Amino acid sequence: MTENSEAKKKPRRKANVGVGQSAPPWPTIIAFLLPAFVLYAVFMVWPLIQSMYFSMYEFKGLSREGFVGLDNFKELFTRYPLNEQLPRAFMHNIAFFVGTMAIQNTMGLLFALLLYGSRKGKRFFQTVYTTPYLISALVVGYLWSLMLNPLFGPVNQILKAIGLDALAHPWLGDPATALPAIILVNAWQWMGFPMLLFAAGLANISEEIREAARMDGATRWQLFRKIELPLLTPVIGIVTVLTFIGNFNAFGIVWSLGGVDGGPAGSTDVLGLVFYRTAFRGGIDAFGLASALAVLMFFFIFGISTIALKKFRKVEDQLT
Amino acid sequence: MSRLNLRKNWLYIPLIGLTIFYLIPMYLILVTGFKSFDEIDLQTMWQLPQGIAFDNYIEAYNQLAPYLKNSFKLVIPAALISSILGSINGFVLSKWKFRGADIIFPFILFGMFIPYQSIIIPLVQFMSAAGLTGLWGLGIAHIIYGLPITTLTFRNYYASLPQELLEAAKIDGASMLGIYRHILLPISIPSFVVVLIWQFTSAWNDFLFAVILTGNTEWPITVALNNMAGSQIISWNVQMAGSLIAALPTLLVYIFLGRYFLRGLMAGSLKG
Repeated sequence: MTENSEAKKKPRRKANVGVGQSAPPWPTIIAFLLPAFVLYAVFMVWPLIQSMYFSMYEFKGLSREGFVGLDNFKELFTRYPLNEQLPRAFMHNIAFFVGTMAIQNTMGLLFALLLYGSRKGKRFFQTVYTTPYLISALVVGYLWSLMLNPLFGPVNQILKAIGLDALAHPWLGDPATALPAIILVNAWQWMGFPMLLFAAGLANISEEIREAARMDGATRWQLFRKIELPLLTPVIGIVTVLTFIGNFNAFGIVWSLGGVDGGPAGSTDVLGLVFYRTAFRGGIDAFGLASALAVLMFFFIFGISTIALKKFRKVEDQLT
Repeated sequence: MSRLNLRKNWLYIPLIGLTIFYLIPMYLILVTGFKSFDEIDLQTMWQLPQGIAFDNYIEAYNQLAPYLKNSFKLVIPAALISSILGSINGFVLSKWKFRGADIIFPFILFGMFIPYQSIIIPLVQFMSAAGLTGLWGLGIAHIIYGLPITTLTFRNYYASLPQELLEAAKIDGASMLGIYRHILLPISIPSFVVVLIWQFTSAWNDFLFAVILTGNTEWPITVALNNMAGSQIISWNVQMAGSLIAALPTLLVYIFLGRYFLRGLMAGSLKG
């Protein structure tokens, strides 16, 4: 309960209430921001610009050769096996995102609501659900490959024990179930994170509003549907965008459960792995091709994220 | 009344159900690490190990020890530097109105939307040209990638503090640095806890940057664990022991500081 009441008590001030006329001289501000700014510009912004530049050049190993325009982009979609792997991986990323939204984030919201209503043991449940996301995706991957092992894995054993023999299955070995299994494992790991964000959002909804709704005879469902859900729009926005970015960058969890090739038979291949293989296990002209892929990934992820944030902000404005 | 009780308590059914779903894998990782090779079997999977033997842990530790050290050498300074820089940024951006603040803040946040992949190739080239290979380069990458979230967290926290706090100090003639050091820094501990834990865990758990930027003597723990798991001779019991060793530092941090982490995370870092 403590964190809830704390969040409520804190006066909400508008950001950027600056000092106004007494702003310090420029050199001071520059001196304060310079270290971060330089690091950031040199190691983040400059490489990003370079990636775009590299994507239009031919590479021979590490050395940059002639300008080739958009040829690298064309190669991505025409050269075998990239022309097959890339669209397939893209679709897997989409499935990853949709599955995660449907399972992980819905569960996160549901359990945030349950915890909000619970009196005892809140801290305990919260701790249990949020522990896995502090562990490396690799460790989570190994743990679940033990759980899902077809020979002695507990998952199949439990399914058989409760009479669901038909469902016992080599989950990670079958191309049809490998990706869904990875989505579930990832959801197991990360469910606690959206749950915390939703819990904070629920705690910020004032008790008076709830009370007023109850006085009007609203059912629990109506309270959720008409009051809590709309007021959670900003949180839903943040969760959606973070999920999107996270899923389109997925790497460690897929690597540990499906290997660097996204096995079995490429059924779990994602863009992160395609990029890695193209850049570091590819042919002599790998860097140009991989840069082109990097640029596409950047525009896609950055573009969709900013559009989504704008959309959610608009919805939020309409509601308030 | 009893109906009310039932109504109140039904929600513990899903809460406990999910708890079991979270605890079973944790139980298995723990017991499997203590088992001998013969005990990894369908019949004995659930059983407690026949004796508490640390053989697997010793074997895993012997293989992983140098890489654990690498990880500590990498992650502690990276988390500290990234948090301090974030705090300074947050202070300047929230408490000092100057032209350009509205450009610089989104510019720094922009980093959150950049996929690792889209900077890594030039970064690899730059790092090797500048001689920043191995842990140095990896550490810098983690510092930079932490800046957006650390800046955001501190900026939100400082923006929530009343402006009068600074005005008084300013009337007394305190400098910008003085205000930061003597007024804001001492009350920034809750945010530092959140940000440090966040940075510590994400740098500790990182695999993508690590597998690309480091060679085999400078691998951090994740890459070493991956290679240990990839070798055929390693059996499940040793692998689980190794996994637990790799996960232990972040778990310990969370056990000791977790309550501050949750509290801080819920209190302030949401808005943005």
